[in-house]
Amino acid sequence: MRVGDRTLFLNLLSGLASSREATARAVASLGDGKRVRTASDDPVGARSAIAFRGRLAAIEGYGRSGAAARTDLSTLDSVLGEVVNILSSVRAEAMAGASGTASDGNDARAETIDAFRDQLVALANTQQNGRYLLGGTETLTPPFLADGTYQGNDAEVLAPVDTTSEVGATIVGTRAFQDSGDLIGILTQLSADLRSGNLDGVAAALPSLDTAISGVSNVRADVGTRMNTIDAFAIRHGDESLRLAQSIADIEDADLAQVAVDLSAAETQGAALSTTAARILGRSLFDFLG
Amino acid sequence: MNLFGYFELGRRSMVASQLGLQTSGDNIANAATPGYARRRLELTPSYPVHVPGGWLDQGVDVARVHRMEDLFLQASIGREQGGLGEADERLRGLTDIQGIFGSLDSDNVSQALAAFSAAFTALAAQPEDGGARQGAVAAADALAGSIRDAYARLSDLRSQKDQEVGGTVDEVNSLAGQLASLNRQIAEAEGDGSVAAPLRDQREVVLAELSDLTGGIASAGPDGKIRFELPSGSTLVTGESALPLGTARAVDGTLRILASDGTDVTDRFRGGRLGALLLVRDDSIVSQMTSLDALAADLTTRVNASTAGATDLAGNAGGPLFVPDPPASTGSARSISVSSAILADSSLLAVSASGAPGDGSVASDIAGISDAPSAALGGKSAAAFLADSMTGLGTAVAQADVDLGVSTDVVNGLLTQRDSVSGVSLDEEALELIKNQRSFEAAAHFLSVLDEITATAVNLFQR
Repeated sequence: MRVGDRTLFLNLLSGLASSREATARAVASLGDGKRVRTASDDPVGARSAIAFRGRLAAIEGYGRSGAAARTDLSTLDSVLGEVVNILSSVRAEAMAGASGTASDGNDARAETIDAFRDQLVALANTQQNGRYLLGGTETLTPPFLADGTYQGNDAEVLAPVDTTSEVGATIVGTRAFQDSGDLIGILTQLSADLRSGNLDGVAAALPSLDTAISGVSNVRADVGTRMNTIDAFAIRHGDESLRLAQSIADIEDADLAQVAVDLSAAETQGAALSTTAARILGRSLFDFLG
Repeated sequence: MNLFGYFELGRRSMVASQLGLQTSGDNIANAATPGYARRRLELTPSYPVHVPGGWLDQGVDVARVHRMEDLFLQASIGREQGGLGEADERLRGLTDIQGIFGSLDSDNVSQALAAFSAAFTALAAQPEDGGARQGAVAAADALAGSIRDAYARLSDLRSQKDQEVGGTVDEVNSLAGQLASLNRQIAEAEGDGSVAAPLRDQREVVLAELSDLTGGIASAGPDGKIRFELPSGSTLVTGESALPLGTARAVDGTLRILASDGTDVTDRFRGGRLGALLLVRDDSIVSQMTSLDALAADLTTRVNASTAGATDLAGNAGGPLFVPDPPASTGSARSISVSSAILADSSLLAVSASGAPGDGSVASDIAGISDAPSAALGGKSAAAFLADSMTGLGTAVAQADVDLGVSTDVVNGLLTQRDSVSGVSLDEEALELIKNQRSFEAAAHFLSVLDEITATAVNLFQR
């Protein structure tokens, strides 16, 4: 084929342009470490990367929700532990009061029981950041009146911890304070019996207190289970986040070794073309004739 | 032939050599001129005379200056040039659109949607918490803002492309006028049977630009005049008259293209840069805007349906989170925003199903909306809808890039072939130059010999 000068020129030019393009791509990859920046760089990979990022954001949301619930639950745990301690102390006082031998101290005991009862009411109205934790979802009104009347509701604040999993972050106060015996009522009655010398009544309070202690302990165990659930999700989500971040990196990040190879290939190609251009374009028959 | 006739023969020979030198000079000078096809001097033996023993030519004549071209190749290049222009312009437009949605790791609509869901998840765990409420409202505001922003930028890009359409139409009309006038000039100049090479060079440049802009096809009539047909089926140039395109504003403010008879050919224009501009303006950008509209309308409807059945922190029935409610029937992505009342007071955000302040179940529901399929989005979830829209755009950009590569290779291949016929080779011209130089020298020598002979003849009888 007859080859015009422009053909040579254009071919060299397009070769040089493609080597420059490869160089620019490699340099850009070195700059930000990315192979895929926009969807057009790898549409299939980008689809996954977008989904992974969405899941990462969701996990972050579940993490925040779980952490908030975890704080509430650990407060509840100590509240319920305190309730059990108080009930045990009450039980000891009742035992002593019922025996009769030391019944002359029963008025003082009644005073103590009254103090314990006030503490129980205060514990039942425990607040965290201005929210009551034992009123179900009625978190802005004190759940218990001084006489033990429950003002909350029977639904729990449900904290999402994964797409389809929720953990109760508050508890329904009646579960701890009424379902296994009306704690406030028992203490009020006990104090009255102690004052009036109704020792049979005081003795009768003992089994109720036992039931109550085991009931509250059960609720506390449930709170512990919920915290474990949240912790388990947190660990699982931590692993998943790492995996997702790794997957996104696999899709989007440049393989630096590969970039280095590409760069040096482009460099070699460019250098070879430049040398060729210098030799071919710089010489024509005019140099040898005339 | 008498002795003085030989002087004429020598003169013709020198003229031929000089013209040969001029041709080479012309070729060398125009080696890089676009549209230039190399010239070749066609020589022919001059009118022969009878001499004893046979016929002898009276030297050389210049038959004509030939313009080296391959008409078939030229037509193929014209066709492919339209494809090249189309792919280049389409890639540019689609890349512009993709730029609006940002890179994968930047704050795009998709990420704003995910952050919105995450904020409502966190709100569900402590719905009465002021900070969590602020966070959720801010995330909703950011989501609405990012949808509005993307929509506004798409809208801007559309008017920019619209202006480019107008500019391109003007350019096409101006080129059409040039082509018609070149058709006339060439016909006039070639009336004597010669080739008006410089005018033909110019016409080739005009045709290449027209093909690049419109993807139209040129065909030479029997009279040598080029007729230019647009892909929309109308004729742009026929003979010596141009039929320029007209324009009119549509209801939505975009420019419509009219054929010379007033027919609207906008939607039939598929080729060349103009076709790609129209495709990007009326199809690619509009479909992205429609997607955003559908997304904004669907989010507004579904989120507001959730909040409408819920109560706010004070126990009052909830108002819509996104306004306008119901969403605007068109351009809902342009107008979506968070209710100003809720923006000012986040306690008005209604996420309680039961009325209790600690009930965040509706926040949970709202957090789930982005992943729940919706009939309004073709059965996809909002997140999947956005992801598909982004990757669909990415695929289109990648495809345009491939198309551009293919078209470039095809056109370059054809240009190489054209060059093999029409291109100037400096080596060739160097040889031509030497050849003509020597031939001039020989002719000069011939004349000097002739001069001596004539002198001899004149002096024959002087002794």
